[in-house]
Amino acid sequence: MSVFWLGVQREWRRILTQPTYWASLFLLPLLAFVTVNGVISTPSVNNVALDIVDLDRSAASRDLQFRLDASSSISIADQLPDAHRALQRAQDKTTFGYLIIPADYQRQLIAGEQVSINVFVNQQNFMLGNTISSQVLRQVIESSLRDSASALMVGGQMKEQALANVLPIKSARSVLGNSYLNYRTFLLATMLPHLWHVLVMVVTVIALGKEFKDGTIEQWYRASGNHLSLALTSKLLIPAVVLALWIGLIDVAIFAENNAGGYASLPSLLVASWLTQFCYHTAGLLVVALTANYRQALSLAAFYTTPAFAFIGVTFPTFNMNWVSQLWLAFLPIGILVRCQNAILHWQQNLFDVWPQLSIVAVFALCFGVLGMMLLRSKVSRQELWHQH
Amino acid sequence: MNTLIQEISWLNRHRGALLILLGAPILYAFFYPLPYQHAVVDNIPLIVWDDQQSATSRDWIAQFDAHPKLQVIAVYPGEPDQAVWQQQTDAQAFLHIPNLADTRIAHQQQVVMAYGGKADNFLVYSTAMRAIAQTLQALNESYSEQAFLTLEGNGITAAQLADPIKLDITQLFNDNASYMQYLVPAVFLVIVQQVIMIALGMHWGYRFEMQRPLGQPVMVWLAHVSIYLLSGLALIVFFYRMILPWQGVFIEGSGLQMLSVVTPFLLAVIGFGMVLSIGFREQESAIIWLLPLAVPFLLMAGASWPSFAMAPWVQTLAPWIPSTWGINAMIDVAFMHHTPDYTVGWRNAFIWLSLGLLLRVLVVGKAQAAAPSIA
Repeated sequence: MSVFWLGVQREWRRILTQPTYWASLFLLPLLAFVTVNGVISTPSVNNVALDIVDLDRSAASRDLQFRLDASSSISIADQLPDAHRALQRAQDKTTFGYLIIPADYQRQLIAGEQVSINVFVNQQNFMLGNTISSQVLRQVIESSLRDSASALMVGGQMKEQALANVLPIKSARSVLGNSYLNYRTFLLATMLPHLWHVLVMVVTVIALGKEFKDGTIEQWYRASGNHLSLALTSKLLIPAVVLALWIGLIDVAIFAENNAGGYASLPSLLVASWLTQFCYHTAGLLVVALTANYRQALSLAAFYTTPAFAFIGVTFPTFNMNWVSQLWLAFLPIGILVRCQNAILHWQQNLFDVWPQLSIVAVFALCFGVLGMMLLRSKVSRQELWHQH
Repeated sequence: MNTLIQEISWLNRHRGALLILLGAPILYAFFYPLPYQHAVVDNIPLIVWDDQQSATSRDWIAQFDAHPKLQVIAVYPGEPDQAVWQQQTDAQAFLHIPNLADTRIAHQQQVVMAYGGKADNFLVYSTAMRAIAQTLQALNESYSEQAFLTLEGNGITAAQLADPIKLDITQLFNDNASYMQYLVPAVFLVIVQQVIMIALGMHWGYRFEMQRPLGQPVMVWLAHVSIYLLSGLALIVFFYRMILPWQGVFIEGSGLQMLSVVTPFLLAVIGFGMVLSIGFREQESAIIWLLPLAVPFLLMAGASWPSFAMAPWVQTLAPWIPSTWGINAMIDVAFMHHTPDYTVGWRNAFIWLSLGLLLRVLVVGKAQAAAPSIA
């Protein structure tokens, strides 16, 4: 049997005999992916609870409530007699806001006086606060327009004329990319690759760093006839295939969730993902080679990968980030993968279109890999680096 | 007391665990808030296709640009062009002002203005769409006022008739709609939870790895509870009393209120960490197992994605994770002037700590039976 396959066999035995190793290849990805999938289980957040404090109890106030309740985003939870109770319910998170319709609401509308409506939203819960604000704003603008148009029609104008006077500029809104505004696909398509890239680096560190800890790094290297690239390939073949299958599964799931099969290129996304995976394997190699210490390499890998999600522009836009964050983002290949994924999934781009960005990942991989191999070669025989606990 | 001193000296000798327990939180405290320092989304890049090219359309464009959430980065003549849109990779939204718009409005005819944006970032998309809708509403109101002025001859009445229902939106508990205040306090608690559990797991795994005495399980359990409770308290004071105010997020609850939340939270974390780490036989196992679970734990807490929109099995599981109650209770006292339900926090602490002790007694008993010299 060739040296290469002996190396592969050796690694397979190591996987089987180290519970943490096989768990991080099979169990942990499953656990993390299933949990995230269970958390973000719906395409959009609907029926956000809102209380109404109706101090007018008129036909006009009931009409406004009816229109709000008819929206799929908001659900009227209860009608309360005073704002104090409504605030309490917002504080204990029974609802996420309340709307106060003032006394004399209907009378003022009929008299042509301006009437103020107050809505209080729980902005500490950003998503739900924004959902309520947007829906109430929309409904109130529509009600306001209807009342203005009615006033003009009472003054003798035709309906079309009145509408053209109160709403001379109509709007037609279009959604570009993620056209169904599917929150689930948006989050899963970024969060799952993020979790996966943490595991790619951790697994690489386990595979190489554990050899230092066990004091077997030189034995592993010599077994390949002192060919480091051969030794690394045989060592990382099984973990790389398993992790490549995981990202393949994620990519297929993302495509299925987006119904993107008809217009987007799955092979392009797979190539982009696998190149990124290769890059993180080389990054793992580099941190092990730099530290020559299993635990320190794991800590460094954790620092490089775990906070990446905050920097890649998913939770907060990159154009509002300071220069330090933007600089850090430039060193995160996962950020490039997410951008390429967007381009492929939502803008019908293919591998050729995203290649300029992917070439940066390739350059990273080359730099990490070459530097990592040089450092590792110089450290494999240094016995003082073995058995560090 | 001897056990306590012994366990503390272990921490002092093993800088790896100490680095995780103290170094990592300090590093993350400065590093993690960096992307959110701007706190609000503004100046969203907007492209305008101005097919009208008149003084009126330039005035409209100036009004869009004046909205704090929008920034007009380019104005092109004619109809929207896909090639131009794709070249302008920074642009997040677009607007099209049709030809002869002001002539049609003067003739009392409606015009349709098309706008849209990239929906691959929901926060940017929703902010941009809301800002464009608000600006359009303001433009419409000014025209509507003119129509009513002609009809009524009175500016005040015209303004009221043009906008009969005025909406005031009050943002409760996060007045400035700060993204930093929304997300970072929750993340800090997850960091505290994870580093305590990792350090505890390393502490536990070390005994087996180095074949050191496992000690009297109740005494070791007590020592670990004391050490990690104090470390956790120090970390939370550091995050919530130093780092968050430094980042412009101010906590409203008193020290006593914070303590009443933090104590059951940390005890539950310690117990949960003891249960999760019971099978660890190496120090590094703690890092590997707990690292990928940080994001799922944060999500399960319901701070960023609402609990009622989660799958039923997650809704059942989430309350048992210490960070779920901890984050919600901390937000209650820190920002919402609300007293949380302490029974859930103490229930978690009691169950996890008891389970942790029970498992440790069993494991140590088994190890004693197998190799009395080690135990």
